[in-house]
Amino acid sequence: MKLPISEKTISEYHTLLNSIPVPALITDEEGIILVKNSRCNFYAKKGIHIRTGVYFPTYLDNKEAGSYSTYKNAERGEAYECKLVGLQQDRGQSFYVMFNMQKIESDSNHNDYVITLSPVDSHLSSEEKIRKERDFYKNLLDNLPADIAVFDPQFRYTYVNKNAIKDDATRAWLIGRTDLEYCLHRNLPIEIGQKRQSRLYKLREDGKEYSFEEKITRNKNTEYHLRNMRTLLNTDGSLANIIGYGINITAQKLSELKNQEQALAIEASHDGIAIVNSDQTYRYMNQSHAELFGYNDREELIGKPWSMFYDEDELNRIIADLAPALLNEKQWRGETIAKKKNGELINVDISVTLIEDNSLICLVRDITKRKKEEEQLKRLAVVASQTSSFVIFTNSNHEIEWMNDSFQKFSEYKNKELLKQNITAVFNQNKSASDIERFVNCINEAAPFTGELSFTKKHGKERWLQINASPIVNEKGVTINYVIVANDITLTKETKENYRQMLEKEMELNRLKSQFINLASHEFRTPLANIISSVDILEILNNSELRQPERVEKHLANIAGDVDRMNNIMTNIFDVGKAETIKSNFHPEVGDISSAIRNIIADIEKKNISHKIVIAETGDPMPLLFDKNLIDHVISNLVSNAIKYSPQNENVAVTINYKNNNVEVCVIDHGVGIPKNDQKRLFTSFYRASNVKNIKGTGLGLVIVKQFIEQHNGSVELISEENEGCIVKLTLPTLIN
Amino acid sequence: MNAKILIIEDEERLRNNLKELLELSGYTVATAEDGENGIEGMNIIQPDVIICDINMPFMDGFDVLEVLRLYPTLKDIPFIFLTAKTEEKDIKKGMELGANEYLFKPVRKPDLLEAIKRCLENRKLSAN
Repeated sequence: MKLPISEKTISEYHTLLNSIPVPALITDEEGIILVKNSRCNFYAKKGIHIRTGVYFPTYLDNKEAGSYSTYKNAERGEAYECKLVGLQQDRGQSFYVMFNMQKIESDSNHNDYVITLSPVDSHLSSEEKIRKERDFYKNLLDNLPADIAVFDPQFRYTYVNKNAIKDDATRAWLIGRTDLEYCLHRNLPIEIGQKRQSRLYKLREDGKEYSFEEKITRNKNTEYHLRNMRTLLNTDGSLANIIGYGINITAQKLSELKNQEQALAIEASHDGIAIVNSDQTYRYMNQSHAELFGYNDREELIGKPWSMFYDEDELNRIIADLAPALLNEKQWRGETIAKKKNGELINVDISVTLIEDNSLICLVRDITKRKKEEEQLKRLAVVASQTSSFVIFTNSNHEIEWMNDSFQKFSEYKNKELLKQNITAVFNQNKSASDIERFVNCINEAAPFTGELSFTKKHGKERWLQINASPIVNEKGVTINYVIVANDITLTKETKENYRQMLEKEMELNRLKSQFINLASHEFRTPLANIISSVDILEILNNSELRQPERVEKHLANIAGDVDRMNNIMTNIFDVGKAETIKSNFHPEVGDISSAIRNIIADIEKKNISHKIVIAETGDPMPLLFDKNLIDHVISNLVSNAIKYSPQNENVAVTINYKNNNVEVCVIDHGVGIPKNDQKRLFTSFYRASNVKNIKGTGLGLVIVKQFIEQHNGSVELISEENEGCIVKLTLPTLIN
Repeated sequence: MNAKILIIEDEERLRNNLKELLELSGYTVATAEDGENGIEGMNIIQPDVIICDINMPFMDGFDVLEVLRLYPTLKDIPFIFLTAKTEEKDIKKGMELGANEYLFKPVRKPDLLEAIKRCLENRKLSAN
């Protein structure tokens, strides 16, 4: 029942309304205006005449009148603030105001409401309102973190949001064009445009929703997008628009791809990988894991306990070992023996890691082959360490990893002194350098090596080793190390070397002999030619009627002279042999060597007129023991050499110098000299210097000189420069020495 | 007119003996004691045959033959080496240089005269 409102309340309502700075009024719960403030007169100018006693909703325009139910909601204490409502003007148009309605709190049983009607911008028309709303949604669409596009039934763009296409000009250009045109314009791969187009066709036909992924690679960046297309129908069921929606899923896609790769890697692993539930049954395993235990179908094993592969003893052993490790370190690794499906036993290496939900990740590797190889290696090691040959193993860096006792004892080094040494560095680098180089090359190229290398023992002894180095190659053909077997061949090598030197000496002697035979025959041929030509002439003279006794005599004398000459050569040759036997015929006597030499030179000067021989003597003369005949031969030979080899220079000098209880006799010429290379060998039988050209000689003179001087405990020294001349210095001990 | 022979030989006694022997055999003989004199001499006397030693100081027989083959007026004169050099390599070298004959010392009269005769006949043939 409705109670009449009191005067007091009316007066309080007036005071309230007057304090409100905008047009305001108060209605009862039926909506009848009880009081209004004077500001409501503002709306009279707009053709809206607000009066008390009128049912308030009659002022609202048609659209708003229907929503007066809000009134009812307001009863339940819900306030309406800042709602834009239209007031009906007397010309039938709407005037928009901000509508606010609030229940008045009072202890009376009235349910009255205060309503404010703030005038909004006077220009705000209904179109503007629509525009504002449109802007709001447009803004919303443009800022959505997704690509939105709307197509007409001919697949032409009618709308596209800013997120999809940032550039305003492009966006404007696109309206009315197809996506295919857009793809061409943006240089997108044509497949993408075609794929979208075919989806649009399908969509137009069956009206279904399509979702698909696109991979777009541009400027080396790859992006993934999820596209969704659906239709928008008119009320009559015909196609109005197609809406396309897309979001960039690159980050999700990449992480998905990464997960896929990891899954692939696990699948592809040669090691068995499995996940075991907390109840010890298999939840997952890769194919390798199943095959390792002899199963083709891994599904057969899912849900089965892992313990099935081990016999009881082994299982107890594993668990005793594994359980505390898992508790303390959340992981365990060990080797064990497992039983395959067919009963075959295999050695396996297992790593177990405990993860969050008490599951286990198990990594299993079949090490049967490795175990067998280890066994075999152990046996080989016994052989290698027992053999008397030297055996060395290197690691992949060519460092010594192991050597047998034989080698260690032989080398005299301690084990640790040789370990980690580069194998090529332990041999003598300066001996047989080419073999060392070949060895280094072989090692670097993983090729086998056979050769002889020199090794110096710790205490300095050098030994020759026959080396056989073989690369050890794994199944993949990669060299992992070297095994080197060596034997001490020093003795054999020394014997060989001795034989080689002997052979060389023999060959040199042969060469010199044949050289001498040639020379000797040459030397004989000239006097022989003289003799024969004289004989021929004598024959002619003998047959002619002319008697020419002087001419015959001359030729006979010539023949005799040449026979002498040949005899001399013979004597010279035999002197060498004689020198050998002279040791027994050596008859030295005490005498004055200076005067002996002067006599010898005086004899030479009688025969030679081309050269002048100067004698100089220094120091105090001392007596010495010498064989006059030998010294005669020596001095004659040296002086005649000096004359022979200095054809252009007439001066030959002989100096005699008593010094340090020795006598030094030098024969000096300024002739052709002797090349450095030839000097040493001049004391070898039959050897002649390379620059003698056509000067005649047997290559025996100096050999004999040396032998005779050594007979006197003296020495011969040769000092010479090619084309400068030559000094032969004899040093003989005096009696005082 | 007798054929002219030039002997180049450094060994005096052999040089004289050869001259005497060939003169007794009816040739006109000139001699030279070394290569240089030999070349000078052959330019003057234009010999019909040259007999030359190989082992000589300064300019050996090979050098002489090499040089004379350069002179248009001398290059066709028959050339005989008479030498103590009996090694294969020396004979080969001599023949390659274009010697007509290569005789070893000591040489007997018939062999020497035969060689000279062959040279003279060859010269006559090529002249005709």
